[in-house]
Amino acid sequence: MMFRALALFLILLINDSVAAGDEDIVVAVNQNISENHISRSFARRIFSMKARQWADGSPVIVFVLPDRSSHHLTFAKEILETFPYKLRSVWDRQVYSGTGQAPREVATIDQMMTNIANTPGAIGYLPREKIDGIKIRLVEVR
Amino acid sequence: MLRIYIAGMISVLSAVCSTPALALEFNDGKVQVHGFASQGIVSSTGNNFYGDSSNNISFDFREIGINASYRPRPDLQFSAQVINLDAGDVSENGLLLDYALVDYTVSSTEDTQFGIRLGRVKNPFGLYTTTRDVAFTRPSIVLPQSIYFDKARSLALSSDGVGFYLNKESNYGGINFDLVVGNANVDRGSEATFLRVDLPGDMKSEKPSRLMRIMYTTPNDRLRIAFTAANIDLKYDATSHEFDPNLAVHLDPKIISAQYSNENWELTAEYSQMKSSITRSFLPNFNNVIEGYYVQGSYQFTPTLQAVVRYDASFNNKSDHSGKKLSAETGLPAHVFFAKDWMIGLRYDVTPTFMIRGEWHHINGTGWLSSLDNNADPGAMERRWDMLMFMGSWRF
Repeated sequence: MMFRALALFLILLINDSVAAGDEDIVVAVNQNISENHISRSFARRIFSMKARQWADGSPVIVFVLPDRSSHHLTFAKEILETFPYKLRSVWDRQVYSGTGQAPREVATIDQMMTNIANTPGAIGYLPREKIDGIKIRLVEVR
Repeated sequence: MLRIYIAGMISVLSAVCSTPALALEFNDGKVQVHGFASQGIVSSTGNNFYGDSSNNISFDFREIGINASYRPRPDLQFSAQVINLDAGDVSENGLLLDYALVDYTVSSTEDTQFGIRLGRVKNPFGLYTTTRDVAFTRPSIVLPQSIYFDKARSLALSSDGVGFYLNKESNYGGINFDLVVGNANVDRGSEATFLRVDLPGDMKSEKPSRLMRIMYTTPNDRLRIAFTAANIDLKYDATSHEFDPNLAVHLDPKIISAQYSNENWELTAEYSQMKSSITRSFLPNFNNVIEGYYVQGSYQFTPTLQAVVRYDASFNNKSDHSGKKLSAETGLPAHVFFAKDWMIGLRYDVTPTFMIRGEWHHINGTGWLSSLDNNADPGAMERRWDMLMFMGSWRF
């Protein structure tokens, strides 16, 4: 019994660590944003909630999925080259010291699409096939 | 009493676990409201920490806070936070205004940002001070006491004045610079720490204190190193002629911090020296260099289970680690002048907004215990002691 519980625990453990999807995640913005590409450091500053305006001075609105979502993990690791817990601690330090705000959290990919499509200045991330090129544009990070 | 607490905690818990939302947002997210609530339980041998914990169970460890921020324009933010702390006899009662400030970004380009903050501003002291009351942002239930002493927590916490910040990002990494100039807030705990008693008068900021921190982050975001330096001048405001009217304390802490973060593990170390000079009329002036450091490692077993280990050492006098010299000068036992703390802890995130923690400390020395929590006679304190703590913490 004990052994079986342990085995189950280990399987869950392993599953958790490979759950990060192999999907191609890209940075997505509202159609009113004209940038075609941004630097990695600017992307990191945007998703750290430190860069708050686009080149034209309009506000940046950041959307993210929950910390434990596999898409968020892939995005954090592959695009920003950091980890979800590092992002969370950067947001927390700002939120609880009065020096910044948290990104707006959405529960699902569908909500992410709706919010990016309908919010001028919005930035988030989506699986590549969800980018329609009309209301939601792709921004390359390099 | 205990039963009421447990019933209360269970009802809070069940309410908490059914609400996944992370924050309250209004006005299209321009207004955000966040908060936290933590309840700790402490049991120790020999000495008291956070209330009456010695051979007993103390619930005198509570941190509650709520904040609001409003960002009408990308370059302007108003924010304030009120907190209520219960930390045994060391804490002040009632609601405290933790910060209340306006933050204006003077200039912002793709890689550089410069701005100014006015009001009650949090002091960026080392790695953890700015959010030290928020359990989710701490590496453990209590912060390493060598640098983040709870017995004088308010001292380094915030200043009433002005803050400047400069962030610069390049291919070589990021530089963050902070400068805060303002009057430090002093509480009873800090007063008792530097004077060894809580006198009827008040310790006040004599002139604005100056604090600066410079931090460098490598381009891969793995390594952060920082240097903090401050100058704090305090004066004792005697309410009665029996006490020294010219008593003044000057502190100049310096901290070096480093943190290396990987996907599943993190290594953190900080080293600090604080020169403290006490000027008095009836006794000779007193100069001292306080020294402290810790090394801490944490490991994430699963996304929800984390372990942490730390060795934390503090010495009231850099050149008297054993406390013998200070003991001979003051007649106090040597162990009140140092503390060496081994800690091991576990954190389990029940939901993204609720977590529980447990940790065990094995401590040699009583250096960071407050005279307010413990018997007025330091000789009654025990040199070697253990402490077991649990905490439940919720945030939104």
